[in-house]
Amino acid sequence: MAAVLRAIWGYCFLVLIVRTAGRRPGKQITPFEFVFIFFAGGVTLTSMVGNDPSLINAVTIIITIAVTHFLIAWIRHRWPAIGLIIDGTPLVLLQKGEWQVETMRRMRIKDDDVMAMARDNGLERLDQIEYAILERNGEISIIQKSENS
Amino acid sequence: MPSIETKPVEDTISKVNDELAVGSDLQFQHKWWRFTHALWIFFGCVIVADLLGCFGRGPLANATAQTNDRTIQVKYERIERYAAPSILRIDFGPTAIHEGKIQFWVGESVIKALGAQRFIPQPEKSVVGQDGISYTFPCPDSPRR
Repeated sequence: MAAVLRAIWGYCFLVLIVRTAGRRPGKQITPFEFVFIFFAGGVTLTSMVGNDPSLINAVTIIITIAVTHFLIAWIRHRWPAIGLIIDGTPLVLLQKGEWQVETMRRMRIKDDDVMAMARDNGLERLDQIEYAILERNGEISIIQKSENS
Repeated sequence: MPSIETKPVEDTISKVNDELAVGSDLQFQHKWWRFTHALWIFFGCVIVADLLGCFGRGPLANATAQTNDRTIQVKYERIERYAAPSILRIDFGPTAIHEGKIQFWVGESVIKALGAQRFIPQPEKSVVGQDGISYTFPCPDSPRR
C-alpha cells in the first residue's frame, strides 16, 4: 500500500514541481534543464521504490502512475479550470512589433529564444514576426507578418 | 457501421487583437504567477528548515540526554525520519563498568518502535527477555561507547 501512495504522491509532486519550475521552450531544452528533469525524476524514483526493489513493487508503481496519469488527464478534460492549472495557458510574447515585457520576464524567456524559433521557421529577422506565442507545451509558435502588412 | 458523434465547429477560442485565436487567459496567469511566487518562498523555507535540521539530520535535530552522575550519555535525533535508519550513540562513564563489562538493557517499547539494526561495537552477548533485550559489551580498560 505504501508503494501505491508513494507513487501517487511522487507523480503529483513532480507535476507540481515541473509546472512551477517554469515553461521553457521545448525545442530549446538546454543541458541544464535536462539535468533538472533527470535529477528530479531519479530522486523521486528512489523514494518511490523505498527499500523494496522487487518486481511486483515495480509493476505496482508503474500501474499506479499510469492510473494517476489517466485520472489527471480525465479530470483535465472534464473540468477545463483544472486543465488550466495543470497545463497553463498560451501566452503572447510578441505582438505587432511589441514585446510583452512582463510575460517575457516572468516566464524567463529572452528575445533570442524567440529568434531561435523564428529561424527554425525560416525567418531572418525579428521584425518579420507578427506574433510569437508561448504554447502550453513550452514551444514558441511564430506567426509571420503577411507580405502586404 | 457505427457512427461517431459530431458537432459543428464554433469559434470558442479567445482572440488577440480580434484576429488570432490563442485562447490566452491572462487573468488566470496573473493568479498563477502569484501562486508560484508564494510557492518559491515556501520552497526556500523548506530548504532553510532542512539545513537547520527541522526535518532531522541537522543541528536542531541533535539532542543529548544524560544521567545526573554522567554514567550514561545518549546522543540521539530529536526528529526521526519515517522508514529511515538513524544513529543512537550511547557513551558510558567509568561507573557503568562492572568486572570489565557493560550490561545494557533495552526495553521492548524502544526495540519495537525503532528496531535495532546494527550495534557498533558488537555486543559479546545478547539475551532476549520478557520485555526487552539485555546486551553485554566487553570493556577491558577505558570507558567505552
